[in-house]
Amino acid sequence: MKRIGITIGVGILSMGVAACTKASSSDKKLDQIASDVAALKKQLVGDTPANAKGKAPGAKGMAGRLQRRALNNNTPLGRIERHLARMERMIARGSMRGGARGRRPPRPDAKTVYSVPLNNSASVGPKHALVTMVEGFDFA
Amino acid sequence: MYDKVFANFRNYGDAKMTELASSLGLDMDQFKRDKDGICKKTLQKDRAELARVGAGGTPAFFINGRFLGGNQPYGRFKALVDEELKKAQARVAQGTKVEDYYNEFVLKKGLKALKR
Repeated sequence: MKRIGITIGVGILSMGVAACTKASSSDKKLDQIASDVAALKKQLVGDTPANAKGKAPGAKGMAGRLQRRALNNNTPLGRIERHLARMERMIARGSMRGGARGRRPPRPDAKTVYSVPLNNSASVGPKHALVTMVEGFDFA
Repeated sequence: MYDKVFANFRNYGDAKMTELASSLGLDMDQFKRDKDGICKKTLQKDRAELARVGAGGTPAFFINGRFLGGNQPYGRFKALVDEELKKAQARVAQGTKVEDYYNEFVLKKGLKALKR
């Protein structure tokens, strides 16, 4: 679980740095910070999630061994680790495709009238009315 | 049964539904026939019809065919109902019968499927 904190913390810092770098690329200080963060991330986590396709992240030393062992275990921790690795890969893929993944399907336009048949659905009120409201619902 | 299903919304499993029906003293043979027959078909048809006009989730409302999705405040419903009521009253004043209004101006003139 410790790895989660480190990975996310470094990830957010990296994103912040990347955004700042884009805004003023000539700023040498920011370049230096980005470089330091990358080095720190490599030291703490090892390989990036995007490069860790289907295998344990490349962390070195004791942390890396524990991480790889957890990934291969069929324990709750192992399942969580595998799930996290999968999510990290998905996030990396999504960011590379410019956020095109997960685009929401089109929704009906509020101004358009749609032909919604009533069939024999359960209803309340008079059979014929000036305003008829159809509700799609589930039991939640 | 309706109230029981609502009260047990965390478990829609077949076994749970059968248990609820049994606890109400329903005719279990009829229950099973309906569950796997007409109820299933009705549900599939309703879902297909709502999906055709773009309602992919619940709750989804169509007020005289106009969409209002999700949990919305009272004011949104009132505004839409008032607007549709005015339109309908104007049509009725021009000679449309109340019993024909939905059929004529929603079912026939409404968009049959969401443009994708």
